[in-house]
Amino acid sequence: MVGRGRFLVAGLFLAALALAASGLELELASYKVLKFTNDEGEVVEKTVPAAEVAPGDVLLWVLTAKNTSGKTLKQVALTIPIPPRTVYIAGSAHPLKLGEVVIEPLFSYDGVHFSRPPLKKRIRVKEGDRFVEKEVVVPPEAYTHVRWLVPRLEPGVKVQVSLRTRVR
Amino acid sequence: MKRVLFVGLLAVLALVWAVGTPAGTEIRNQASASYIDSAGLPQTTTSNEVVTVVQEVYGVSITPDGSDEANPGQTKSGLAGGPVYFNYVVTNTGNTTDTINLSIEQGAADDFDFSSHTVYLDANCNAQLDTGESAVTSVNLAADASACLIVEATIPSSATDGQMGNLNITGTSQGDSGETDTNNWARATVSGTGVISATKSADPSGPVAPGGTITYTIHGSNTGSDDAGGVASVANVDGNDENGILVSDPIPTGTTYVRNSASGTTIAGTASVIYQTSSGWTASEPTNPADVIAVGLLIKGSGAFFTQGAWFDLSFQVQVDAGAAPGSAIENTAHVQYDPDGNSSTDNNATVNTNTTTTTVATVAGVQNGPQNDPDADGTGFDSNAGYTDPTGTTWYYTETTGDPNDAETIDDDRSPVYGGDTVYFENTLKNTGNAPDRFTLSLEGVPDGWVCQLVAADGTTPISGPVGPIDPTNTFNYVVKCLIPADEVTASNTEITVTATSENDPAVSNPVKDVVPPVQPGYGVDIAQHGNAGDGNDSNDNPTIPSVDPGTTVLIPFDVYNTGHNSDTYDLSAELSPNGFPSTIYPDANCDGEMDDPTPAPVTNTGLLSTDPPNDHKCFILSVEVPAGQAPGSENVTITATSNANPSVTDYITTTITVNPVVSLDFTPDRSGTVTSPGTIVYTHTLTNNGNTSATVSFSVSGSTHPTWTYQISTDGGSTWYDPADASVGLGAGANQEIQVRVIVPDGEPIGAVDAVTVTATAGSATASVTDTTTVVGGDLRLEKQVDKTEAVPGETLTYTITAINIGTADLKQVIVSDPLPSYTDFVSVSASTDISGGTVLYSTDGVNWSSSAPTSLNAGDAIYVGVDTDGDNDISDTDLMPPGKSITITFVVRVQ
Repeated sequence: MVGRGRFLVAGLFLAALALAASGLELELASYKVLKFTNDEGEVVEKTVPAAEVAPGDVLLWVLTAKNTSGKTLKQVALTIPIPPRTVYIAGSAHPLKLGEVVIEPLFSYDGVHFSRPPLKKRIRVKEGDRFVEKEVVVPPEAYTHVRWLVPRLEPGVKVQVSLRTRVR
Repeated sequence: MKRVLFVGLLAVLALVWAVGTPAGTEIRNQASASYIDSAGLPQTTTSNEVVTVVQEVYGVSITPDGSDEANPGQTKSGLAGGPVYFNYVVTNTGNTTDTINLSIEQGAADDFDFSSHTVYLDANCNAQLDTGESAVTSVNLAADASACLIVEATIPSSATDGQMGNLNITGTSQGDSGETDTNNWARATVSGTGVISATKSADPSGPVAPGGTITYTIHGSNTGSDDAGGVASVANVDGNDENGILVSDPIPTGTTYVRNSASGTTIAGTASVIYQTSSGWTASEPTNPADVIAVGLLIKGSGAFFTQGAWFDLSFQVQVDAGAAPGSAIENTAHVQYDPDGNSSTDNNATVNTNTTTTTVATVAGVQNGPQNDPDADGTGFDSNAGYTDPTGTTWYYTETTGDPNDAETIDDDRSPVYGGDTVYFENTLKNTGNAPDRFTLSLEGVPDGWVCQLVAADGTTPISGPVGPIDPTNTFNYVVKCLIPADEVTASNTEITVTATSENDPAVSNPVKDVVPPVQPGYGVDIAQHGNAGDGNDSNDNPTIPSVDPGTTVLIPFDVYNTGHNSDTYDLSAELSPNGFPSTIYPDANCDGEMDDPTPAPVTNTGLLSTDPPNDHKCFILSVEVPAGQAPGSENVTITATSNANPSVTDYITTTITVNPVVSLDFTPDRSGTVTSPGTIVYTHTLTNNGNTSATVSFSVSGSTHPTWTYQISTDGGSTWYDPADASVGLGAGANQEIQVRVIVPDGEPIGAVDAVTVTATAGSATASVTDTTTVVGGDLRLEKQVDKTEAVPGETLTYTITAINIGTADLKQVIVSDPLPSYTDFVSVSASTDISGGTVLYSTDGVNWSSSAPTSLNAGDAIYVGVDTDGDNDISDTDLMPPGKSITITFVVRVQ
């Protein structure tokens, strides 16, 4: 149980589906990243289970996915949301290398549209007494989801993706 | 003009939670994935949910700051022996409730120490010490909250004009004593002149929403030791240079002056309210309030008219602009220009500033939550032809009910019918109508028992855990409600599920929308019918008709099962046969040709999976029924039932009848032969068996007789009653047998050797069987006697027949041949014969033609043994072989019962 806070099983929906498929097992864990200076004067990082965090702390989220279906799965989209009260730390989501294939992470600010950065969105702002629509770049601090799209996942293969957030 | 600057409060507070997530907040996260499985179907799954709790952090801030004694954050003037009042604001910058302990420190680099000091809580934040406001040594504040303080410090009466004293107030967090604010130096100067001290208050002291009003009140008084006066040409009002004391207060950015709201009074001199525009001061209130850039109070009098203790008040209102950024601070400081000694020289004119009031622009929360693309549910934006396409590719179409808060989105069941077992999807849209970015918690109500509903993102898959957002003001957010309806659900009316969006900035602000599921139709259905007729929507052609069969046959009934429901399903198959319970087995008919597959497949009791996509998925089966051999004629009712496994109340059946034919079959044995005298009679015994499955009435006929004078009769009761063959009949039950005797009556005068072979035929319906009885006439002086040693015997036992032929006549008998057939149901054991004819040799034959002196050792069924006595030595029996009167032949014939 290392690396998780208190966790609740949220399998209710899946258990109730009459002909639901299983076959891809997901496990999410969170760690607190501590920075300290060791005896040699170097700044090193240590990860500990994230039971309690303070505003400003860095949380490392690790998602492990394993293909337990016994068959090849395709277009496997693994998504880690950026939870409320936290801010995505730019650059902390790394590409996933699967053999020859390199999968770059995709980002979203609304959970629906995913793309490579920079993300753009249209917002309405008030200028004078009128509302106008503007396209603005969405900064990494406003990202709400990060996704890796794996084209093929062979049976038995396990992959791991991760990202970091800062607690507001 | 000497201006004393104050360092303002914390700059922009952009978001409510920017200072630090409240302690105890749970950070919840759940990952999700979608994929295509090996069958090409889209699937989704979610991970475990991880929960992390935010712990407490503490922090203190006190303003205005004064870094050290040399740089006080505020300076006040006072009289020796009198009090000065310093205004402070203390803020809890941590994320949890805390007690801030306050303490006062006296300066060391100054001229005097204050003789006493007390910290008061300025409860109404009006910068004045009011009655009822109490002394404190600490304040308890929620996270992000502030309190106003007034430090009252008394200048010692020994202090002289021009001297100054410094003090500092420090705040220390009780939750974390390492969190402090210690740079809040203030200075009091002892003044020998008139000093106007002025304070400012803002009402309300807390946040004000855009469009709300703030009332500013400036109160000033001469707290100095001398009378004060006005400043020459302090302001040019409507083109005229005016002298006097000028109180001025600029309208702060983000607000607009409210017309007719300014008023002022003074108890010394005459006061008039003036307004500053871009063209200068004017006494006439501008008609456009946006033109007012400052409000002032001009107090006129001559010389040192503003005596010690004199005071003035000025108040006016501003309105917070509608576009003012929430969380931003509206700061305001008023100024007073005066002449401390009232002697009109300009070289010591003074300007004093009041404390700075800070009003936070309140965050106003607002949310609209409505049908797809129409959050305010007024009809615009909603497109009934748009629908929502879910991850499985199904598009759900909706109709809209307008009018918040009873707005609803109903699935249009003409285009999107709903069945038990379906997962339905609703796409709704919410809009942030507040003035600050906000997050919204979505909650569901009205979900019926057994239904499983989930809130997910607009992609139909990613679960929503926790509030959605942040969403900027005026922006919208689409989300999806997906509900799994139980397989056996059928409803006659709508099901309403209410989704409520609640603002996180202000949980009192929320808005509901109803997602309505139309009547749920049965999701599962089955049609079972004779081969070729399942799923045709016609129940009247379902039952097969079978031609009648004979017992001992196998009947094959091909049938098909068709899934008429809306979801894949499997069905249990069973057959009931009554009243006889013929054994039956169900086989799959994989090629659906209505014939048993080769090789014979394994029997089944379930159809296996029947999907609904592609449609018309049905499977073929054959019920094989074995009609037992010997089964009595009649009807057997067959019922074949298919029952859904997903919803066992869904079932269908077919019925038919197997009709067993009555079958008649007769067996009539054995053929017989014998000898008779003329006149004489002989009786042949036969066995008649009914091998059919039903009772038969058997009639008889005799044919083939070449001796019309001979009489043939039949007895069916063991010889008690004799009938003419045409009149004889007997009833036999199925499987029963009956002894039938045929009697031949030979009249007198028939020649010896006459032979009559007849066929006796038993007939029942179309069934016949026959025996042949052959009768030969022998001499009338020959008496034959036959005895047997047992009257009853069981199989395996022997019967010994003793046959004696005696010449009871007076003449020699020629060619005497005694014959006896092997009885039915017996095996030959032995035969031996003796005679008292002198000179005679017993000869044996099995065909009456070839003779031997050795007794036969075997005899076939239906054959007879013949015995004669050879008296002329020619090894043959002919008419030269004589039996003298009184002589006899005795034959011992042993057989074994089969």
